[in-house]
Amino acid sequence: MENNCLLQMKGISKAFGSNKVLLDISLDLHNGEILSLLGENGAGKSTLIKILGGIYSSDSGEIYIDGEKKAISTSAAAQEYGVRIIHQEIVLVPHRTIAANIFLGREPRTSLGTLDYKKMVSESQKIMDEFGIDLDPDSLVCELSLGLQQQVEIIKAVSANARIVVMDEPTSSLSESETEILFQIIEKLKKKGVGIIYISHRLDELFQISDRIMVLRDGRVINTVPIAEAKREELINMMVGRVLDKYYVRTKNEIRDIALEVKGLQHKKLFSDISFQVHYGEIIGFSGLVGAGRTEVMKAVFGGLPHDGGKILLEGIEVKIRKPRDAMEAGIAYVPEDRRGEGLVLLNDVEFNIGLADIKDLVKGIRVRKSKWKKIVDDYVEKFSIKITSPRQKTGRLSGGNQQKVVLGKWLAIKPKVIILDEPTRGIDVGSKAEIYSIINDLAADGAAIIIVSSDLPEIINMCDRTYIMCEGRITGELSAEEFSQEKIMTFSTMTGIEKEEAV
Amino acid sequence: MKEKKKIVASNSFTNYFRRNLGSLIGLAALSIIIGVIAPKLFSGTNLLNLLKSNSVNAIISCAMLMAILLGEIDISVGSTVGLAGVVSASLITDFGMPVGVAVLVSLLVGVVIGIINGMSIAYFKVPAFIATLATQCIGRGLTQVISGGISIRVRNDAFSNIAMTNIGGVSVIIIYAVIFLLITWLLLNKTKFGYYIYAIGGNRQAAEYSGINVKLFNALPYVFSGIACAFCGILWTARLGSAAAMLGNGFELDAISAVVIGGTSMSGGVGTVGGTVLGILIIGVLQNGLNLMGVNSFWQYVCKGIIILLAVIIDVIRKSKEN
Repeated sequence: MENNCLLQMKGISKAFGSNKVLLDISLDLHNGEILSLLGENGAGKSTLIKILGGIYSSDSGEIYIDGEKKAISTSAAAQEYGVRIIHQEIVLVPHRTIAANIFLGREPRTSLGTLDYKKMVSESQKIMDEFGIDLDPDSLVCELSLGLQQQVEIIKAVSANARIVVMDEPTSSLSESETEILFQIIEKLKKKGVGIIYISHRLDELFQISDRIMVLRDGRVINTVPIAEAKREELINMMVGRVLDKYYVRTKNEIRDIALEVKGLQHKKLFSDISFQVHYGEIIGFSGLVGAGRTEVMKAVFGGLPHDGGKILLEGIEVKIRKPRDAMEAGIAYVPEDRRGEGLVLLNDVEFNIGLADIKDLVKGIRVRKSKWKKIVDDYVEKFSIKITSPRQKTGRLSGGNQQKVVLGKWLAIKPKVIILDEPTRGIDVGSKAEIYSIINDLAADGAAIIIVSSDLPEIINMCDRTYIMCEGRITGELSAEEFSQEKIMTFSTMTGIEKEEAV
Repeated sequence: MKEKKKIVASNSFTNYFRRNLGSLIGLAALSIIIGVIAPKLFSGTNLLNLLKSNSVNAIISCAMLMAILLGEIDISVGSTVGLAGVVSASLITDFGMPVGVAVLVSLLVGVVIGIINGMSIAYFKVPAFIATLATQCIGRGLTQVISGGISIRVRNDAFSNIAMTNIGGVSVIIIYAVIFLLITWLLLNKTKFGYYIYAIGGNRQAAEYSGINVKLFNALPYVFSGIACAFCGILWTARLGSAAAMLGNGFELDAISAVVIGGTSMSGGVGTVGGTVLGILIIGVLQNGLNLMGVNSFWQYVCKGIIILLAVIIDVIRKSKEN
């Protein structure tokens, strides 16, 4: 049996200090098989694949490739054995060409001993043709969209005769069509006999491509099920370790007065003619592909980006927003997409971060209102059930879900009337997602006006009363909850200016 | 989004022109303005002089370019020039060593400083600014100790020939500079050494995950820098016939200016030898022009400081526009 196995990991354990992250994990992977790893953040998936990739070393356990025991202590060693990891965040060198990135670390040489760039270009072209990717290998990586950069990552991984490819949430920043292309590439790899370990929080995807699904929780393997026997609810229950009654929480509210209205907002490069409105008690969505300009519009409304024209009205009165402070004073909060980069001061603790937006109120002159600060922090920690050891815990160490709750707490502390949430559940595990949906629902029920920017269509469809759809910097459509369907939203998302005029 | 935007192959002339348009215009404007005020700028002897007096800066700029491409900096360059110069002079004059030995030992001093810099930065994670500030301090101290605070004269024809020879009417110093620029171009564009410098400076994690020995390739450029600076120290001493304790003072400033004006990003990963050459020329023409116009050297410092600041501000603006 063992000889059939491409990869076997046996009894892998790992602890960081006293924190046991992996406990006796074993898995096997066959040629041409797609094994999915499912688990909440902190379940140990990332640690496991970092051990396989030679980035961490395990405290105990063994790794066999083709039945032979291998010591994988560096990423160079992992690559030598044909293990390639595609990390969640894109790790390419931005100002180098696609070809230079693909061959990074194993550049071919000419007979003179210098590096052979021409060969890198032609070889890259060959591999990209093979996988049906239409890119110029001589263009710079920083000029590509995230989705295309992801494709370069994959090409880079598979170009080196990869035998085992690990993909850590490869679709978290991809649009639907980009995801489709990714799946086609995965199919081709599978046919070539490459073994794939696939990590994703999106269950639909796992059902679409996996052969087997392995569920991890708290550093242990809970179960491994063949796809034919897998059931969605059972997987979720295995993953969270409790029965989750409902995933999306939404109670319909009475829609009240207009809270925020934007009229003809312009930016000379990023977006044009943006008009929309949101009422108190309402949740509206902004869908579209990555790069459609949704985040930029929201940043402009919040004063983080300048705008060149148009009006922003709050309760019917025009407000001038030039910087985030203006928006905050008007009662607008913006929870950014990039919570680690823009939402949190990672080196600081939970208490500091939650108080940060409201600091004007918490610090009067040189006096810090400690008890009020502490009360706000305790309130939100309890209300959102943020899992922390103490308010002094560094936010950089928290899971994605808990980080997002801290950011939410930070913004709710200023009691905003309009709350803009940019990709509120990206990269967050299923359990925390449900909790965040419940928080959003409560906020709307309490009368806040909420805007959700999301690439996750089920999220828009299940949470929003209405959605606007953007493409190439313009609003191409608006749908009410009754009209929602994935197909309609996708049609508007890919509608460029010309097609729109034809449609009208 | 325009995904298929074609980038012309990196070695093409038009691409060079387009990428360095700002510096080219700057150099042309500067030359015209100074040429009008002091027409002597364009005389043949002055131009050769200009090249000669900027050759040492060109060599040091090659080293500085690598450090800045890594997203780091090497401010110990000037003191390494001084130390190597004083060591070579002292070995020949005070100890009567043969020229070959003196040169080799001086270069070795550069290697040692480079290794200390590289080790502390790449292996012990000392921020490059602090690490090279420390070695700068050490180098300056040792230079004073060896020289006793005064100039050491060197009377040795073989030694002075290192810098005083002319080949076809062109000073050999200019030729050294051209060779260094060529070597640096080759290293950066045709070898792993250069590819990995760009990779580490552009995205260290990507380099690490690609199986590159990041520490080694982070450290090696500092050794190159040490050797280049030591060579400059020898050149300078051979040219002047003496090594002063203050030799090399402020050289880091000229090199940083040249590299940054040449379009190299302070955050690493972006920059070329071609751009740096323009930066060197801009600094050279400016300094030469200010000399021709009789501006005193203290005001020249003020000018240089302002120019560095402007160059970095332009870099920052350029980057924020990219986003």
